[in-house]
Amino acid sequence: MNQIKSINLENFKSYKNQTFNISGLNVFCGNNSVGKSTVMQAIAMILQSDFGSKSDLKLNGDLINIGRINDVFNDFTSAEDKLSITISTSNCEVRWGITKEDSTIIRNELPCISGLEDIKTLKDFVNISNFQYIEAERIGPRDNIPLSQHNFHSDWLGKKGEYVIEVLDNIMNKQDRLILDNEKPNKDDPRIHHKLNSVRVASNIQAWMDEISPNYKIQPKLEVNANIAYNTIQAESGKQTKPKNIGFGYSYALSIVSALLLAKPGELVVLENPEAHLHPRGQSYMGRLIAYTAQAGVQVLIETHSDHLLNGIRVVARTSPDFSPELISLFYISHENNESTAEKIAIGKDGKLSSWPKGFFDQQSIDMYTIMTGSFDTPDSMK
Amino acid sequence: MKAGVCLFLESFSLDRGEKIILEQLSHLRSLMARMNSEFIKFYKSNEYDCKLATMFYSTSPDMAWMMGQFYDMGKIDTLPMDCDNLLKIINSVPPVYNSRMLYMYNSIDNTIVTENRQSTVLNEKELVIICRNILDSFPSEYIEYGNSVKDIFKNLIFLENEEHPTFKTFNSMNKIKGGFENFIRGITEFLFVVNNYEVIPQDTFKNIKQMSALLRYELCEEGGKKSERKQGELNRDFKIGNIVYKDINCEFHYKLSYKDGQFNKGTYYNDNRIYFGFFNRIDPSKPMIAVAHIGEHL
Repeated sequence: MNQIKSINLENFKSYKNQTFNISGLNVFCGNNSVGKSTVMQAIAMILQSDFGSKSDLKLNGDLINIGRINDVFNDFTSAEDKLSITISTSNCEVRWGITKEDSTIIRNELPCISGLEDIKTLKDFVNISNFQYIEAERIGPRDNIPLSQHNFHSDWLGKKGEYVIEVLDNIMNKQDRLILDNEKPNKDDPRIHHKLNSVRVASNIQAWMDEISPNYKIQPKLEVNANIAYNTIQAESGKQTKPKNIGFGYSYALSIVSALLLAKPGELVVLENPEAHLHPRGQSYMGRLIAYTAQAGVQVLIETHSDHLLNGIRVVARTSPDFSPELISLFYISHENNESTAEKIAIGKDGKLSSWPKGFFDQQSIDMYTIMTGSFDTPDSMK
Repeated sequence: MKAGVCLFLESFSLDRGEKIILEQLSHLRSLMARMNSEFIKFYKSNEYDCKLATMFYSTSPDMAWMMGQFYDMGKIDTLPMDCDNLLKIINSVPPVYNSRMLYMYNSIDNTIVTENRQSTVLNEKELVIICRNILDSFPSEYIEYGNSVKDIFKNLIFLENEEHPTFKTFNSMNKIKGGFENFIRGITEFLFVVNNYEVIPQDTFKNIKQMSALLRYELCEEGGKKSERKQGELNRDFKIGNIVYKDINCEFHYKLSYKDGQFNKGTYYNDNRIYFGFFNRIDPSKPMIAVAHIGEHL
């Protein structure tokens, strides 16, 4: 199975030189503005570059727009320093880069500087990966949404999840889709909801959505003549209602849950803030589904601020006998001395983390200490 | 005089891992849910939370959750003294502070740190014994006493039905012949014994026989007078929560025959009664004793 093995960022935005060894499930945590999205952006650049006639890496495209090279060159560098991005997969390694001096000439594409012979392999990897890249800013509840004009692939949900209804209409109303492994229905796929005995993707999407917004049935529809898709949601009473009456969490989660269940083993799902607008229970269940998806063989990269979502992953590590801790790479990103760095934290079979760095998810402890004592000076701040 | 149960860090086995601590907290939470009342209050020193917070503080939210488990446990009043001074009071004789006898709570299987075992409370059974002793040693007037027994004997149902035109409360203790204050121990003894008694479902005869054996005075069902009464005359309506359970047969009664300390010696009183019934409307497999009336002969 060809998957991303590592990404190296050199003088790219706030990173001086950081290698991320990528596993099946990769979780990027940390304070705001420390460089979590930078990793996702590097991957997005690779995914949005078509590598057809050119081998350059596009800073601006269908997934992200991050400006000119000068905008993303690390601020604390000299003229001869190089910005580079290197990706390694199971069978190729490609590096793009440019010196600061040269970056004024070439404006918004990074030239390939090594592994040119692997570009085609990389292009094939991107095509085969049927990736989903869903950014933090997604579409909320809408009465209707325009149909897609251009797709990376037939299950493409859109970077804002804007095509999820269109894709769900296909699998719920036209072509039933099963959870597959090697083209065969896989009743042992860990993503299959525990209350179901069905490998139907549609049933499982509904079941996982029920964990987030119980008793609302998805009813996707297309109006091709009007060029729109819309979701009529059936409430427990049987009444049909509009997504606007269900709330943001439902619409935000639907594309994430769909992305995770549509992906086949070997494919790639990149998600920013999958927990957005969800209640802690929903966040936790989202974490579980993410972990099960990785366990199924899908490579998943997420950026999150949610300890509930992390706990959902820990629950799977603790309760799923087949879950391998090696599957998870948990990166805590921090920014000190004008540089972002990543600390890798391990999750054990018991769901315990190898360390809890200061600033990682310690706000609850800090607040609880202050609530109990009335003091803002926590024991570690007094050291 | 009332009771106070005090929590210390030493009340828990904090060095025995999270699972044990959570089990211990669960026991305490159950105890508090049943017993926390006007008569029994739970207390902590003014440094208890600080000590706990400092002990548990870490960058892991797992520990923050643990801190929350201690902090948000329920109503625990803070006393204006540190742990050492609170323990001094508990170890003193009598351990009185602000009209309450103070005891230390301790988890089962945890090391006891009070000078006397009797200063430590492990569970509801021990707490009820302590409260019984307080009721016996520090008599109160009948209204306060009636409220206290409702706080203490949680296995019993006491008739309190304000909406009933006639039978609003079990408490008619002011009508006890010979003076309520002279029968307190006898009443408390009855309530203590029946509070501990496990009722056998669907076997009134055996229940009366076994309860009689545990008690000092006569306990029986309605006898000769039964034929003179209207049918259901001693039935009572018990209100539990918002539900009224009608027509509970409360003909069974305990005869408070002698003043306290005068059993078989002093004047025999024939007109003081505790009427009760066997209540099985909520869980027929676990009937409870419902106290309908403490006072004069009905």
